[in-house]
Amino acid sequence: MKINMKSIFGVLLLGAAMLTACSEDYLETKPTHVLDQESVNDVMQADPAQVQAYVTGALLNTYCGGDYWTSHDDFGIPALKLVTDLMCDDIAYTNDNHFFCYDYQMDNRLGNYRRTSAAWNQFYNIIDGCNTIVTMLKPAEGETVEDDQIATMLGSAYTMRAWAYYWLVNLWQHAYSVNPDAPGVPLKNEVEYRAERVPVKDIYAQMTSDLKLAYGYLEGKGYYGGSKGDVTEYSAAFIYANVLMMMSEHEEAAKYAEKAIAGGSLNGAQLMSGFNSLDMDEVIWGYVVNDETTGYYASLFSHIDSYFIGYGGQVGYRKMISSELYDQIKDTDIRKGWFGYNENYNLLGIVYEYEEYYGLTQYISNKFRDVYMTTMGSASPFTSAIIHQRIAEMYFVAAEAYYLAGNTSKAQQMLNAIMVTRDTTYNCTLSGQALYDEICLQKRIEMWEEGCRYFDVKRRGETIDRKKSTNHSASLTNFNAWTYESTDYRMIYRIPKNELDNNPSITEDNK
Amino acid sequence: MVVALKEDTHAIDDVVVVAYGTAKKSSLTGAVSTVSGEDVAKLQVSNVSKALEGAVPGVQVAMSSGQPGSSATIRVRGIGSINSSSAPLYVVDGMPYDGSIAAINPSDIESMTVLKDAASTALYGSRAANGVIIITTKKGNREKTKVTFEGRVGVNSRGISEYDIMKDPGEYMVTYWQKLKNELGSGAAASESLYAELGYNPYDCNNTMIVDANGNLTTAPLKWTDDWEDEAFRTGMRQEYNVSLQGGNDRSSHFLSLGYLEDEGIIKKSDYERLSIRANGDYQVNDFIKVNGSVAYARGEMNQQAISSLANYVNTFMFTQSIAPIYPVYGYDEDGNRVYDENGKPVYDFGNGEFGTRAYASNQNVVASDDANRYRTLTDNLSTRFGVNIKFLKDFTFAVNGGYDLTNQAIDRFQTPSFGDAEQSGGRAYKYRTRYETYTINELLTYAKKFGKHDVDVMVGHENYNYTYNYLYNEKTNFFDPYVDEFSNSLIMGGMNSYTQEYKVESYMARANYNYDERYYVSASYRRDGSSRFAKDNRWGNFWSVGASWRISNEQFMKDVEWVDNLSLRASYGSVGNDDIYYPGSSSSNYYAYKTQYSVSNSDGAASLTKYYEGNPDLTWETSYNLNVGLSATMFKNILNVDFEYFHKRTEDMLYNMPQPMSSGISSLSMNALTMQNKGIEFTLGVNIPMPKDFYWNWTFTGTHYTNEVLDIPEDKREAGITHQAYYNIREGRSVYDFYYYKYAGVNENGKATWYVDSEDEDGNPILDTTTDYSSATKYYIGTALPDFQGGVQMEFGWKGIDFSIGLNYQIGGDVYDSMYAGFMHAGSGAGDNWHRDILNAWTPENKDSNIPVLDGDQNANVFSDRFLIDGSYLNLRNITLGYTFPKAWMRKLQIEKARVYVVADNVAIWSKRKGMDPRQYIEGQSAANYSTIRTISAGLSLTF
Repeated sequence: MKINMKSIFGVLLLGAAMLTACSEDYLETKPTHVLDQESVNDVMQADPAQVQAYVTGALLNTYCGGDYWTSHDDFGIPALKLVTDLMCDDIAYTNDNHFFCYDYQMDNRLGNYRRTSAAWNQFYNIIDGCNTIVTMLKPAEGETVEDDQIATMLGSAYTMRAWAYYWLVNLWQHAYSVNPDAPGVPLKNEVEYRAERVPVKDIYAQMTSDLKLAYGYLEGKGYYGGSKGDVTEYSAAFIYANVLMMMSEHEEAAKYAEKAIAGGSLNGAQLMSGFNSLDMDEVIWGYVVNDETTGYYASLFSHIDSYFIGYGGQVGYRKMISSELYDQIKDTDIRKGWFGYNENYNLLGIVYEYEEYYGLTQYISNKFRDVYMTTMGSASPFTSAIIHQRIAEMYFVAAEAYYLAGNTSKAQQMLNAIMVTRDTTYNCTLSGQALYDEICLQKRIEMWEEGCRYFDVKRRGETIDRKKSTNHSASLTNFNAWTYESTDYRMIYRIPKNELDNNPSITEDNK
Repeated sequence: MVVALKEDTHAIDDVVVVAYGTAKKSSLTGAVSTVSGEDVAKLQVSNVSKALEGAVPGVQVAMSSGQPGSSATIRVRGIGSINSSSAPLYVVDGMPYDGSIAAINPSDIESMTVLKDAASTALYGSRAANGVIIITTKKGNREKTKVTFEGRVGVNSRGISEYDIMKDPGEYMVTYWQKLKNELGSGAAASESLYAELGYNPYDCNNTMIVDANGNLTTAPLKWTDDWEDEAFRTGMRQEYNVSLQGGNDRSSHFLSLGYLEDEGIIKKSDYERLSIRANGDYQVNDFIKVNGSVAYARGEMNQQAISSLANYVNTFMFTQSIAPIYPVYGYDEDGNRVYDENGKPVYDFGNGEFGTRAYASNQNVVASDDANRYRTLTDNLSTRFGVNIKFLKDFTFAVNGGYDLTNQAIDRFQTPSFGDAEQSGGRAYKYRTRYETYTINELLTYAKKFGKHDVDVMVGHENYNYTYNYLYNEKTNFFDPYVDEFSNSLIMGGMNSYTQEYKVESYMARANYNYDERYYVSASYRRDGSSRFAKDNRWGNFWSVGASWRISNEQFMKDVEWVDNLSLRASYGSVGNDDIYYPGSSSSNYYAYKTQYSVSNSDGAASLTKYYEGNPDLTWETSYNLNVGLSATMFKNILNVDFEYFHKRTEDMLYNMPQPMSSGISSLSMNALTMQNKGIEFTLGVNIPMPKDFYWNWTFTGTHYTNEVLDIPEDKREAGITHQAYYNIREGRSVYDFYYYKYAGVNENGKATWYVDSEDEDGNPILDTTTDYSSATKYYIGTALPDFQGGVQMEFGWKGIDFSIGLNYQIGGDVYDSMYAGFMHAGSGAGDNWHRDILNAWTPENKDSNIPVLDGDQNANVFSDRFLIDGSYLNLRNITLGYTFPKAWMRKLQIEKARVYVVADNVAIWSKRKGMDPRQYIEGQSAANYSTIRTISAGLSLTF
């Protein structure tokens, strides 16, 4: 047989080609739009300080997280603060067809609604991030943490985890004082996952344990990073004080409230600054927003600034103070200036036709003004900082705690200390129920639209009565929520549908 | 299985393109359908994926968007996957193709072949689970040089009308007044509040007198009569020119073509322009070496509007219908005079307080934003192929083929600083620069030999596939000049990102075909694929197929059966794979599904790490097992052609993102979890009606019926099923596309909406009750998105030089949830939101027979229920063509071989259940305000020299 050279060439080529079947490495690829676990581990192995990125991630999740920006009314804890305020009596919101209207109508609580799942997902996201940090950094049994940086990371994680559970257990169950054995929410920490609705008291046990540890890790470190964007001993104490109030441990609550107060100072001169910066002396914790992290229209100031381009301003869906509360603010009080149309702020020339028509202009809010407006446009729109914690709240917590612990003079002292910076003529000498009512009233005014009212109503077992105001909306169709107890079924959410569908351990939903 | 039968179709034994080669149609053991290039060229499609509509049995084509240049959504033999891609694999000139489908000039296409069963597709193993579409481009001509010119010019108009919405401001005002009266309890209060609620008064009357306390509309004249549809829509122009040259000699052949297309959409800044060039050739170097190669380049420029969802106020198709007819497009002064700017142009009204505060979409105006915003995609698409064939030892062929496809895309988006979303940011521009690159190299060794009546053909091969995607994104705000959308003109950085995605597959393959005396055919194939998407131990999958065919008509005993020209029976079985899992809740591919992933972002200058995806190292291939049985017959001297197929496709180990309780820390975990099947029948029936000389008349009917059923899901999910995309439920024994939601029970005695709920009577027996609280209603199976039957009809008629054809396609059954209609049927919960005119029949104390709830502002009155499911049946007049070919004798004098003039109309008419809703757009059963289908009517000229 004659062998053709070309054929041999062909066979050789074929053999070569077949052998070039690539090595196994050919199929190894690495993502770059995200980092895989290996890469993350490598970075942290090389520089353990980089674990801080997990902490920062959890911090970021307080501001966004969950179903972040899937809708313009979804922007993390700031949105939920607004939501819970709207579920009470201090904000009058007269529109029945826009973002947040169903929160105001107590009708945004079903398991298949976005609100419930966004909140649930947000907090369990934060918890998952914190669990990762604790798992990585927690000292072995019997050992202590020597490194300051690791201590602050651990302290931050425990604090944020407790904060997330504080929200969860309150949004999905009535207050601790109502029934500590009531079914709460699933509990996941670095050790265990209890998928069932863990009793409320167990969630509180987790919170107090976390906060004790957190405070221990952070104590004495002050603003260690030089930024109010970090979790500090003050922010841990702040949350702890609120948790202790819920548990009626008033003396301890007063103690931690005062520890939180130590992180800032009162300054009446800054009260009209628009609440858009962490530079306020009263702020001890918040989140700095920039051009990259802003949600634009999907942001807090879009919904609450009455003078800017957002939903609460130019678009026209204004959240106003209820007349009942407004009428109780003294004219000598700086905070009176937080309300009432003020043309000096109306830089965009917005027409308040609806408010004028119905005689509501005095209830328009001036309290929150976007940094774009207060800097006359030198800051980018919707880059206002988010204030998580302000010591003013702690003065009222301390005053209430001292009162409830039977210490009238300390209660008066705390109340007067803050109030004199709001109203130079202020001097409270009341006692008994009158003092208590005064503390509660001034706290409502002070913390208006800052996410306090809902927790206080629940804790104190108050009855919401929107009929006391003239500007709660009478025209809303399904608005049957005029007068209701703090234990009304509408005050808590139903379990998100997605959780119910996929978590067989949850057998009981809220009404 | 040539779909359209020409008058000269005698060649029933056509050669068809199959995986890694060609084959005689009669030798096939699997299910393959072909659409000829002529049929593709007849349609006025700017994207060839749309040419398959109604043309091939077993192929569902959803014309999701009418935007010029956009692709259709194609599903072969049912929706085969759930959380992984259901798209077919495109193969262009022998190589998997990831480039732009829009870049392929339809007039360059020789044929499109759809491979449907495992025997045909298994050789493409990976990624073939959802079928394969092979596009073969035209090649040179060894006989005579032929130059062809084609040109056509026409107009584009809106193919689907608006819903029957309110267009009369008075009608809207009176209806809204009625709602307020129901809500507030008094007509006087309603009259008082009407203006305050809506913010505009289009009548020249007092704001509280628009509708009086008795519900009578004012007689005052209207101050404006702007029509949003008229202002936002336009007629576009479509023009297309192609020149091609086919030539060659006995050693080589070549093909060259140049094409230009300009296709204007029906709204502003919506168009597609393509310039394409293609060259290919082959050359016989000597007796045993042959080389071939091709280069195709296309420049595509698409302008579009950011139409993405129902909630998007820059969606022209949503906005113009959803805005109440009381609001003007332009600004009007107190006296109703239109306001003009200093350049004499009318000023737009944004409802932001300048002229009034609109209850609907304040600060938005879609007519203005269509004009001022920009969304341009510039695509350079390069596609090259190269191959060498070496024959040796007489019966062996060794081939090396390479393919390299490159797509460079520059997307520029701009939101004007003048108004709208980006006004306070001083305008915003996004620029995306992406580059997709694929190379495929294979080496194939073939042995083919005939021994008497035995015919053997064996092939073994190896292939590498490598895909790389580069992404770069920038965003800046604050534009100095409001009309220059370049970054050089902007101040503040908004965001920046870049990354690279990589995906690789390595494959080994083998195929054997054998036939005895052209009577008995058997084939077998095997392919082993490794995918970079899976972990080392789980990345290799084995796919195989076997098939057999019996050509009955070649048997001795059929010799005397004269009326049967050809008859064959086929059967095949085999497996194919799918590795294209999506990220949970999205439809973007996860190329690293086995790895846990974290995203890094900037939080006030510090690095923030958050978990992005929880990896699963156990993840492996999703596999489909396909059974196909087919029968082909040609009878009565080619008068009747029949193709019939039965298929049964069972998909196992489906890639699925299984939902997890969020309290566990993750919302879903990717796994191989489900088993699903699609089974059905499909047919093609061709009839060539015997006609006198100079006439021809033929018909082709195609049809498909299939069912979908979930066979297996994890045990703990069996009872309740897995909620899928909110309104479906994955449950054993049901289809994935069965709607599972509330069932509407009409209105109660007060006109409130009610839904069915399972309840118990006093004795504890189950009964069906109703409730006004829809959240406590019971979910039922209320319909299915899958059609009962789909098909097409093609008719061609000719007499001498005249040719006439009609193409129809249709669907019977299948439900569509009409989201748009549901929105239009709100009970007054949206101030300023338009209504469908059906609302005029809403329940009132005087109209108690209605099942439309009372207008009282209840937000839940129009929630998702079977009330808004509508039969998706339709009949679509897809194409009409009338042409005339001049007699050859006349043309010869002009040195022209053939000249034809014609008029052609596409998307001529559709008959469906509700005006405004196009069931063809929504393959998964839920309507949205997608870009409407475009009707195109053109005249054309075709010359061959």
